[in-house]
Amino acid sequence: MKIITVHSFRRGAGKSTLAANLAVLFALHKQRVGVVDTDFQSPGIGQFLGLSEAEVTHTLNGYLWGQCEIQAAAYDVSARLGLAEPARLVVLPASSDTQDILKMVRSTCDLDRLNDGLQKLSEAYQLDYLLLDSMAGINEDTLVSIALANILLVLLHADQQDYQGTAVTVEVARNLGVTRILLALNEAPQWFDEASAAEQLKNTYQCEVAGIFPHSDDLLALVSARTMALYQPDHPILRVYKGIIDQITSA
Amino acid sequence: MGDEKFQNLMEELASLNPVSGLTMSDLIEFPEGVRLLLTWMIHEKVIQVDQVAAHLAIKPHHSRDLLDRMASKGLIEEYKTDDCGDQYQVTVKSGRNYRVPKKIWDVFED
Repeated sequence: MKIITVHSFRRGAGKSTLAANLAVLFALHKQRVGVVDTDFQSPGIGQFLGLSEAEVTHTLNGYLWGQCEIQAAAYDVSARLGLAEPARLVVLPASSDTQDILKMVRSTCDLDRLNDGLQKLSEAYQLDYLLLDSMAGINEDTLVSIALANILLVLLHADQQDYQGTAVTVEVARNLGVTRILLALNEAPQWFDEASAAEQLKNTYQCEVAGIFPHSDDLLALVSARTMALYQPDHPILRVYKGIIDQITSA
Repeated sequence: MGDEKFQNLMEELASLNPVSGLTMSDLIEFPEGVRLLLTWMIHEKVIQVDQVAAHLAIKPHHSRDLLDRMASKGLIEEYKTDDCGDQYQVTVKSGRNYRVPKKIWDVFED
């Protein structure tokens, strides 16, 4: 089982969109995938994958606080997303309840308990991949998410703040011994020379560039309520997601 | 090679002050050898002496010395088990240093 942490230095880069679509595409390729929302301060990946607030009775927060076992906080969405065996897609959502979010701000993310839970989840569902939708930036919780990664997928926009922030993230990841770091650039403007940008990113960060996403009004129109991978499976932007999958699975 | 690696790690550990409650912020500041060993241990979750010896290509008695030194510095915890022998685990505490004033939290409690 491989842990893929999806991270960005700044908020709003598109991590959850990326993680959700990758998870679905992995599953469509007959893989068994778990998606874990570790963005406790702004959770929401469950919504992409068909989970409603009403049905989420147990969350990752509750597991970390010792209120439930990990399996109780895991939701198998395979059937509702039309995924056939052997594929599997399991979501471990974070709580979107205000009090829970505030409690998480005050409390700690227990690395040992998280690590233990991820292992149990992986064993219970025989997962091939576990995608961690991380918080943005560098803090204690994201250091945990990065440290756990077998592959770190860093998402950035084409702007100076993200370029500088990505340098910090890559340095931190290397210091934590992450052996594989992939970059993905999001919302590239129309005039962008993708080949040249990919070369520049690769040379600057000494990392593989997994994909460059053009700006997409169609993606925005999904309003984080569903994945392009299922809603419009023939959309051209999916070639970028599939390229990332190919890079991840090629090693 | 193994002896040199062991010596380097012991020197790095000697340079560290003991911690009570290892945080990720602590870990990221450690010398490279200790830092990478700890992150490997985080991935492995629970480890034994011979696992570390194999991972670092050092002698088992050096591995034990290393783990004992790391435990004495507060970097790992040792568990004695009947069936699996001595086991070690990295235990990371949250390092949040900022404190939101209580009066702000009280607003949400009302």
